[in-house]
Amino acid sequence: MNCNQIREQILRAENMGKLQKEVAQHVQACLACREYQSTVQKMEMQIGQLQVTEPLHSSHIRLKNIEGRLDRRNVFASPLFKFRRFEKERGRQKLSVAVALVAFLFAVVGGLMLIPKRSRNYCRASGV
Amino acid sequence: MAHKVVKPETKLAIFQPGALEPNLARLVQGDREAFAQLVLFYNESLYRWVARLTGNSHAAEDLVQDTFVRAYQAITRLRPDTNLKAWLFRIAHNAYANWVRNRKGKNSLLPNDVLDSQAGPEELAQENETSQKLQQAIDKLPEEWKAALLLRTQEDMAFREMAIALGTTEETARWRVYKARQKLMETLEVKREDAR
Repeated sequence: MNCNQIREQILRAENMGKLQKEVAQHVQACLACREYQSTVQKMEMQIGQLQVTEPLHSSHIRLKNIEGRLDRRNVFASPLFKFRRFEKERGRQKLSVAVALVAFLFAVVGGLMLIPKRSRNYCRASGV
Repeated sequence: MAHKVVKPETKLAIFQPGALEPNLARLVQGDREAFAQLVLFYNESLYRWVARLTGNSHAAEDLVQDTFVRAYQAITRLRPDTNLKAWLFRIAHNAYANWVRNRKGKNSLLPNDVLDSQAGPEELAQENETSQKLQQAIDKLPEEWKAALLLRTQEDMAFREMAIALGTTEETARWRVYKARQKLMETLEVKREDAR
């Protein structure tokens, strides 16, 4: 591998300290690549140490806020609400059964009304 | 907007003693105490990552809180082999992606208050300048590359873990980090040459 390929391998490495054997051997022998590797390593360290502004809240206040938000959501999971939801679901189930039953009755009645007509027509046509 | 700046190491030192490793089995049962431990254990690192991505502490605060609320809603679906850290970062990444989408729609840019070059004594001026250059270079990176690079450098995540967090493959995560490093090296080299 030439220097360009070695540098590409350095940039692809997961851990700068644990390079592939071939890459590590080249880096040891080549001053330019060694400098390149140390520059990348230094840059990564600097990124890791970049400063962040102090958060608006401490960890514990943040936790309280999160728990507060969870509790507000949990209102909907209170036993009373659960019961109401259960009642609603049961109501919906009952309604759908009733609708299905009515539809079935209509189909049966409609069918029964059609059958005699057909048979009458058949009787007329055959002259019975 | 002048904000008090805190170094990550200092914050970690303050934070670590109270933080307990969250218990996955208790989490799955919806145990609130275990969830509180989860929040205390990961909220600082999530905030650091999201604040760096958004460049705004208010937005970062909201996104971190959203992340934990969403996490709690999905907590019973966790599997015993779930990587908690990667899972949380994935939720945060999704929340961040939504935030970016909404912000693009409104076309309103929030002031970047994550780094303040004016803050700090004069001895830190040079260090701040280097950090600022680096920060500017990072800000110019595409969102996906930036997210991957920060997970690698700030959270020391392996590519496999990063792939889960970013909802992609290990190879794509590696490629994003590679491209981000390459771009940063180019940018910083150019700046160094300009300075000479």
